[in-house]
Amino acid sequence: MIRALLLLLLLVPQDKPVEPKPEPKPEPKKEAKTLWVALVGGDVETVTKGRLKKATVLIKDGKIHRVGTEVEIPADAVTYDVTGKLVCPGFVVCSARSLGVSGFSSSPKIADAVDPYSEALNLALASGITSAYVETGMGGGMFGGRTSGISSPNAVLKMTYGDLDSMVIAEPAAVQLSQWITGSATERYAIRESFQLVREYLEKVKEFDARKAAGKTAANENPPAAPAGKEAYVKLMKGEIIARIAASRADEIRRALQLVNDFMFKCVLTDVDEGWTMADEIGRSRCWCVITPRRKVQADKNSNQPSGWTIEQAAILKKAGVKFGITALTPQVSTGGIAGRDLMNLNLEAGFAIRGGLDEQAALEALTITAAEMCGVDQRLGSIEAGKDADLIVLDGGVFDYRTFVEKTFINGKLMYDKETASIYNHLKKK
Amino acid sequence: MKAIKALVVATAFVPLAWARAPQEDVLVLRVGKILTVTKGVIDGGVIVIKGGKIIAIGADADVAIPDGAKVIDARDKWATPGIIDLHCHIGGMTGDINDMVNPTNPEMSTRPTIDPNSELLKDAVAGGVTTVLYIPGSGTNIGGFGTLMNTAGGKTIDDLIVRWPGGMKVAQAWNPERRSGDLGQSRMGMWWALRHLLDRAKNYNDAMTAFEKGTTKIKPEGQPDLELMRGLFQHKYPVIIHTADARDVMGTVRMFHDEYGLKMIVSHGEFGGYKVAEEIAKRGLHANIGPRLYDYDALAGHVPDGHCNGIATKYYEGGVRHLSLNTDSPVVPQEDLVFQGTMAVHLGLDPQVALRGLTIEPADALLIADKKGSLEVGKDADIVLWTGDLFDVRNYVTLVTIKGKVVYDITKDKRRY
Amino acid sequence: MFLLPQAKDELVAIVGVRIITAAKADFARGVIIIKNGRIAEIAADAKVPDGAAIIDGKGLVAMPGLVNPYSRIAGGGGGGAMGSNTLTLAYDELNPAMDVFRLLPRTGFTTLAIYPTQGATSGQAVALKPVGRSRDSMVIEKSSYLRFTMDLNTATKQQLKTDFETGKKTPPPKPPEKDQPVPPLKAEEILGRFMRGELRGIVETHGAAEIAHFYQVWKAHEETKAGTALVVFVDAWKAAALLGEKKATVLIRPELTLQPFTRNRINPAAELAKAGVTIVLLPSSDSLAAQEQFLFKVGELVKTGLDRGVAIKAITINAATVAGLDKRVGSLETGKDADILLFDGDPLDATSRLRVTMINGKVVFDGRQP
Repeated sequence: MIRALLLLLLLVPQDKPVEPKPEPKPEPKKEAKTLWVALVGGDVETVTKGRLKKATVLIKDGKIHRVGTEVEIPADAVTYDVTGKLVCPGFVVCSARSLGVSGFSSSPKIADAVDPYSEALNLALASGITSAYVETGMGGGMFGGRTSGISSPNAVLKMTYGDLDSMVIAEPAAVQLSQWITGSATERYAIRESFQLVREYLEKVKEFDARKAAGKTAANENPPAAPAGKEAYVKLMKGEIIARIAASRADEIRRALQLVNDFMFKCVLTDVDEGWTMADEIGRSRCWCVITPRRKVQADKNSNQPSGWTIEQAAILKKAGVKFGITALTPQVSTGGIAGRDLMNLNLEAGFAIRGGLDEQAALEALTITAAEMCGVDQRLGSIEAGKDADLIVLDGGVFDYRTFVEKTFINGKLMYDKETASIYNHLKKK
Repeated sequence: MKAIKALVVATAFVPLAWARAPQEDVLVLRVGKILTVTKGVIDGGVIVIKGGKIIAIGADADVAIPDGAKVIDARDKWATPGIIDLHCHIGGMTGDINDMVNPTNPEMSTRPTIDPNSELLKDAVAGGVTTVLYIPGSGTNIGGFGTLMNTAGGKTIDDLIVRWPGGMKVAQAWNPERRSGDLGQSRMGMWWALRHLLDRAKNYNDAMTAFEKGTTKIKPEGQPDLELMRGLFQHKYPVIIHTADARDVMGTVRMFHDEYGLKMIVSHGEFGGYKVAEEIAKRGLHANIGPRLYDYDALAGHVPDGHCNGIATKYYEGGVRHLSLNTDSPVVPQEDLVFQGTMAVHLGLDPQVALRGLTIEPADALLIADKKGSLEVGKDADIVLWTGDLFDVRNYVTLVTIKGKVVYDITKDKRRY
Repeated sequence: MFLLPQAKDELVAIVGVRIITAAKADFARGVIIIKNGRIAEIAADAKVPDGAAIIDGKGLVAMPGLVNPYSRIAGGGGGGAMGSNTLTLAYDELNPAMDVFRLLPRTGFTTLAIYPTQGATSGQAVALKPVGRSRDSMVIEKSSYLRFTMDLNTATKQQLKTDFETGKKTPPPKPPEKDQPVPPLKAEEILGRFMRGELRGIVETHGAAEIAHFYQVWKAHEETKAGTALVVFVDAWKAAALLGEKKATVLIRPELTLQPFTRNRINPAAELAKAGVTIVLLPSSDSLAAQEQFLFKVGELVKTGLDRGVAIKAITINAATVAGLDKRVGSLETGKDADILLFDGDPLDATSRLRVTMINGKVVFDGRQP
């Protein structure tokens, strides 16, 4: 028996005993050193908490750490002397088209189509723009026109040239519902129906949760099933995302407000031209607007109601409590030679709103905090406050002064543009 | 003694004496800051307007306000002359700016296309633009004659016209090129067409002038299509040429100034045209820049150097002193002519040069500097009141007078811009 | 037991020649001994074996035969970036009768790798030398490397991600039972070979943006042994910092470009080399003319700032490495194939001419004066 077993042992292939491979020693993790950056001596326009004179902005690892006049700066901080300059939050474009997105992509997801080496990013930085809500749809142009596309992908992008991973900070940033205005009757019906279904669903959920809390649900009773394919609507009705509807004329705005008021979701009305004719209604609906002060639509000659454009729209909206962002006539950066009508001079477009009676604080908010709010990124962007991203610009004059240039642009505390070293404007010296 | 005193007293009051008599309405503007353009800045001054003209202008202390005058208090405002655009297609929104069968059209003009009630003209006024040379497009080598007109001040075209013809519109190249196989496909053909017509017109003018002076006895046969061109050779009105890049700008200068001796305006002058700025400056010619105001990208004729180059700045640096700006409306809306000035200054042009480029320089180029382009005694009372520095986009127009008549007043009219 | 009679060794010696080895050291004057198609010895001074055919290298310069690791010279082209076609073999579409293979030796190219074109994972490239008239005589490696292509497209990125993950999870195939035939590798096993570093990979990108997107996809696999190289476009200099950080190898055409909005010239290959990127230079296109002009273009790059030593490696050993052929070709070293070019001057000098092309120890192009 033992002999048989021994024979068996001989026949069975014996594996050579394998020595356990030694675990490769993990590389000792480099202690990440805190990166301190300080902007010292300038006037700091926080947007939300007023303007501090001769103050310091202290940045820690890309986030604003402290803002004030008595800020202690660590010895190893990289310090920028901005005495005599104005420090502002980087401009947030509330509506831009194809900025930083490759023209060679048909991707449904902007995150897979962004081009971190696009020269448009450098131009945006030179203009004080640090982030933008971007769609890739058609429309818009030198003479104005619709800036938003139907159901086009959208995202909030930072202008971080060379750094793909830091570019996309929110995708999607909105649910495009412009079909509510321009779609066929069937499409519009489908939108309304979707909202109805989701509303019913959410009511059922509420009822189910109440019964469950009271112990009145059966053991095998499942919560109500969400209607298929309506995730975006669910998020809208829960307030987790904002819709966008392009509505230029009064009747279009009215139709948009009907939907908003019926279903109570957060909404941005874009391309608003006749909003001034119904400012109170818009105010009551709590919708944000995207406006371009100089965009002209002709008055309706067949109507005895006020219509068309007015340079005073921003001021009228503000008076009615409407919050809005401002974008340029051409919502892109342009190098074609027509000056001051595209994103490269966005501050001047906002200046035209001031021409129309808007106060400077509201104009500033339209380029910063309000724009960030309507894109759902105001936790991180839009003002100079501790905890927010260090996206900052240094200006050599007033925000809306035609002689002002951006001297420096920072994103996440990193210097991304310096007027002296970049060639675009360094031949223009301040007089 | 008493008689002499009385005489002295009488003469001292002469300026006011006739003003006492209420024959004509007198309008007075009391302004915080007056930019005369040609005679400096007046801080705290008065402009007196009568019969459509400025009859007095100066500091408060120097100009008395006539009795019975209607006084507009604008102590917190700035005053400038009316803004002038010498290259616009303001009527062009209806498409009436090119008739393209013939390569040259000296019989055509923009006059029939003008709608004096156009909303575009009203917007222009609200932007401070009081006078425009409304010209045909550049679809042919000679589009026709433009109309020099005010933007408001009357119900009919005739009420608005400052001079007709305003000037002849030429397009040297960069648009009027014909299709393949047609005459005028290349510069050879286009310039033949231009010279052919200019020669005919010059000969016709010489022949008619000789007859009119009595040097010859037989009246030359009339040539209706060349009649208006006589005024060019008589220096009654200028030729305005759409031209670009150094080669074609030089071609323009050689043809219209050197060869035919006409009053001429280089218009657009972009895509590297500034490279021959010295040639323009040498001849004392006028360069009208716009609607593009900078070169940054590698577009034809411009060698990119990494800088955003202001085109007007380049011309100025090249020595050109007769500079003006345009909108080429509707490419840039007419009411943004001053904004063109804003951007030119942003890109390096001296603000005083920019202001001249919107007022006295275009007036001079249009041969109406005796009437318009600055706030001086004897000139048309085309005055714009602003809430401040006109180049600051936050400021706006509150009042416009054209030939002494208030054509826009935001206290009464709907605010347009 | 019977022993077959020994075949006579084929012996060739190139004597008195300047040698650019693309390896450790060059020789101002030296000897290359070739035995049965391989380099047997290479030295400043060596004994020439009896019976060796002697090539007088006086006045000549020897360098390794050029390697084009990313070619479509034998036709076809285009293809989509959708789908996974790991099993596709460029070998299957190879037509050895094409004229271009007859003409190639006089351009200096002695090794080619031809790649397939369909799909995000396009398949396996074939490596060959332009000798003989049959696939068997030409092909040196039926599966030289895996070719991938990038695209700014969610579907493409997803496909690549999926294939890389599949490869990572797939263990090596079990060895077959004794006397059993070796079954062909499955797609996931080929991907597995790639992820373990046993099969090289080349990824084609079409712009600097795609380089960044590729590294986003590849991030999860940076620690693997997989050997990748990126075919890049002329704007790759914008991503020099990123590529240097990743210690990347790139394949790039020998073109100069302009700094945006200026007329300042940029030498992309030089910028990348400065950033620590390993360079492979490819001919400007797949035309025969481009292969002929290749050395002129490489010389132009050196004239405008590319380090000469980098340039030489970029057209020889680095090119061989990215195609997985560096054990056989790409440098003049003992044991490697005798693929040798003889020029009548410095190969990167515009006035030099290629006089002799030798593949596997045999002269296949002789342009010497009689």
